[in-house]
Amino acid sequence: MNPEGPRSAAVLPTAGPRAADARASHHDLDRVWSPPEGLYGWLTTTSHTQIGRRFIVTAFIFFLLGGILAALMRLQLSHAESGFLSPDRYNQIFTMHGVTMMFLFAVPIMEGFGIYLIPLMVGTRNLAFPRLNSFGYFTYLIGGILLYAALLLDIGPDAGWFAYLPLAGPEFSPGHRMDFYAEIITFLEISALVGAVEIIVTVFKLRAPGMTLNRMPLFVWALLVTSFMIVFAMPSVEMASAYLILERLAGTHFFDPAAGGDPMLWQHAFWFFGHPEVYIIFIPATGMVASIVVTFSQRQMFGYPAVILALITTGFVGFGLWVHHMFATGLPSLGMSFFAAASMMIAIPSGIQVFCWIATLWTGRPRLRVPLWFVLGFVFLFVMGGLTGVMLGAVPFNLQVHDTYFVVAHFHYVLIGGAVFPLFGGFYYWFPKMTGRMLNERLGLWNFWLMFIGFNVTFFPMHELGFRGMPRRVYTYLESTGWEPLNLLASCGAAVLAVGVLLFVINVLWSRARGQAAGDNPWGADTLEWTTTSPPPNYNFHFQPVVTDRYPGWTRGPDSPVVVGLKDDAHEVLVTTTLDAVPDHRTTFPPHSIWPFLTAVAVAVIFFGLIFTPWAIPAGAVLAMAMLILWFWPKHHVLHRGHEEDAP
Amino acid sequence: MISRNMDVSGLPDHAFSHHSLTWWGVLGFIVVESTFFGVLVATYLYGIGRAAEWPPAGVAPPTLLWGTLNAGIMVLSCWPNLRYKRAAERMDGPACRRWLLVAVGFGAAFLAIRALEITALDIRWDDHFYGSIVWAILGFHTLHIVADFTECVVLAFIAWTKPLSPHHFADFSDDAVYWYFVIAMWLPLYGLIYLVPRAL
Repeated sequence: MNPEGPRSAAVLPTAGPRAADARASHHDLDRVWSPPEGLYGWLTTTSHTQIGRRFIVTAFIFFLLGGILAALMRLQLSHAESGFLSPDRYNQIFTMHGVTMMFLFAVPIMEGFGIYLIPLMVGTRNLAFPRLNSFGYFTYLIGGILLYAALLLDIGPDAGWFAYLPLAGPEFSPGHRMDFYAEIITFLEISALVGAVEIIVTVFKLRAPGMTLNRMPLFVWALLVTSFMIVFAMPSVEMASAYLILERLAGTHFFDPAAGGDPMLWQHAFWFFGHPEVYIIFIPATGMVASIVVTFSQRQMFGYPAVILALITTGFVGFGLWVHHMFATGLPSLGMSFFAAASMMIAIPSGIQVFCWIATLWTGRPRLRVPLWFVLGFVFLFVMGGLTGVMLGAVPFNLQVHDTYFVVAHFHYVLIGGAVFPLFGGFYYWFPKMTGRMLNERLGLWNFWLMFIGFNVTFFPMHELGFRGMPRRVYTYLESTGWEPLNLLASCGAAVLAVGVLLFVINVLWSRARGQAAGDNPWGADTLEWTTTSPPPNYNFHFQPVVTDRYPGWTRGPDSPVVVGLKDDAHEVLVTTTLDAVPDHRTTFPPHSIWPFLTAVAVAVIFFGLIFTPWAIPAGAVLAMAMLILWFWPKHHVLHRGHEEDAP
Repeated sequence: MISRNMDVSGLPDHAFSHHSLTWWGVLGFIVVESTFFGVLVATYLYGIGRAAEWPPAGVAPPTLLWGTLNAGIMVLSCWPNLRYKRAAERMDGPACRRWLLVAVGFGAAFLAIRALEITALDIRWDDHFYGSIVWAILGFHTLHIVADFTECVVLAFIAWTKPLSPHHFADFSDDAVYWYFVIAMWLPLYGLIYLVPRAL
């Protein structure tokens, strides 16, 4: 079925690729698609590989900062009644650890991988809306820097990453700490939302001809589902944090029971985002796992349609779980039963995926390289976290361990096991594509085993600490509680984990300069990004490929069909139809621009100013509007050229 | 295997409606913003669910006049908006210039009436939960009118001062789609703020 059919009549078979070679020029493509040099180039680039890499590097730096905060907490808790950190400092540190890992690390790094990989995987030249992509990066960067500036100035948020009311409200959190939280969260999520829209439109409209939906790589499917989840989940937390801004700045009563409000409203709005958030982090990780499993077992994915259906099901059911974060709030028991059932149901699609990965490995010829080690570690840890998750889904059990270290253990197994391990596997897997060099295998194995052992030594004892009643978010404990030995053990494990991460950093720095040259497709992988050079040129592919099956990396040769007739001297890309990827029309992307950066600054002025005065809204809105108008102001010569060529 | 390259040089270099990337982008942001409105609506209903009286004792629902008038004018404006979109899609420059001015006029009318609507409220945002959510809904929707009104003014300026290309016409067409969204959003919100408290 192709409702957009008639247009495809314009597509004609032509001579072989050699004839096509003559028509295209690397030189022209390179000139057109290369960003400008220097600082100006850094601020204005719209290249998805540059911006994607930047998202990944920035998010990884925030991961290290969040890790340092975690290490400080482990130092403080390693023995009873420690005076290393003051309670006030500890509150800021555990809040910023959570905010960093969820908002500044996990979501941006997954979107960063999507931004880098998706145009390559679907065989196009750039992400849809490249300037918006640049804007998204700068909002993220500015937001993150502002939050850390606040922490260093001793005005970091201190009411937990979920900022429950009334603690986070004007009465119990005077001063500007929680203003920073509310403003920056609202601001930061703009970045996630624009990234999601870019990814959805790229996947729907920019796929290479022939890449029908049922030939799309699983990583692309995973990011597509994730992006839809972001679109429906993030507005909830943004609206909630906007209410919190208004509550603190303008004296509204959304959360004030004395004036008809309700602090539970915050919890509903927050967790309506907060639970899907877990899947927003986990689903891209499963996409990475699928890529690695297929490549390293050298066979087609077992149950490709079942995996896609499982991803989509997870996307839907993920929205029906939020109340399981609120079992201790006294909701009606029928509601709790519903959410308990949904919480257990989500184990089904996750289980299907795990079985399909295992079946693929089982029936393939697995090669045990570092990316696959991380995937195996992931399967083990994620199953552990999933099991405690099912336990926590049962209301009576949940009430027993509510707010204890059992919960801390559970979600670190799910998040580190379920997302950070695949992510490290993904780093090892795609690093050769991004840099042209392999990461060192021996260091990689040390990296994996230290992280795996360190992780388990850190977090496994926390299950037991939870059973023994140790509450979360306490800055210290008495010796008589008997919690000290297990805490010391956890802190030692954290040190091992930190050494593992350090080895990774060393590996990256060393291999970037001296690693073994990778070549185009060092792993023998199946997806399109491996059919171009490593690192890819600024225009990704000399000719856009024409896809004829699900595994183009394995089936394409030098004579495989390509797209010809796109202009080499303009940012021209081919737009295809949504379902069947039939060529539809050509479109020209805008060139690099400074306005997305300046717009991000203007929007930051609004939100930063709002910490201090409501007048920031009109002042900043005028500024932001002006930037947007300049951003979209038509450049005459570009349009003129397009106009001329329109004449039939 | 005989290689069959695809020559796409004969394909058009612009597109309208669901063919175009911008249309999908606009749709994406419409979905995002609808979710924002959804959270506002959910908050309002949550308030009703918790309150013994809605609106709180001694408070009247907002007077019907201005909100109803605005809803009526918005529905009426769908017709010129449709003409505007169609003119854009057949790349009729003079018609687009005219209909853009009409769109600017309607935008100004929405804003003027909205100003009257807000000044006619006898509650403040810091009075109680009810006041907070009514102001939040009106404010958030007004923000959308202001944004699209500004866009229309800029587009009208471009249309009247610059030679038009197919890319402009695609922008006009997407602008018309966004107006539909702003209008379509007001109808349920109008029902929620003006009619639901009277029906309770």
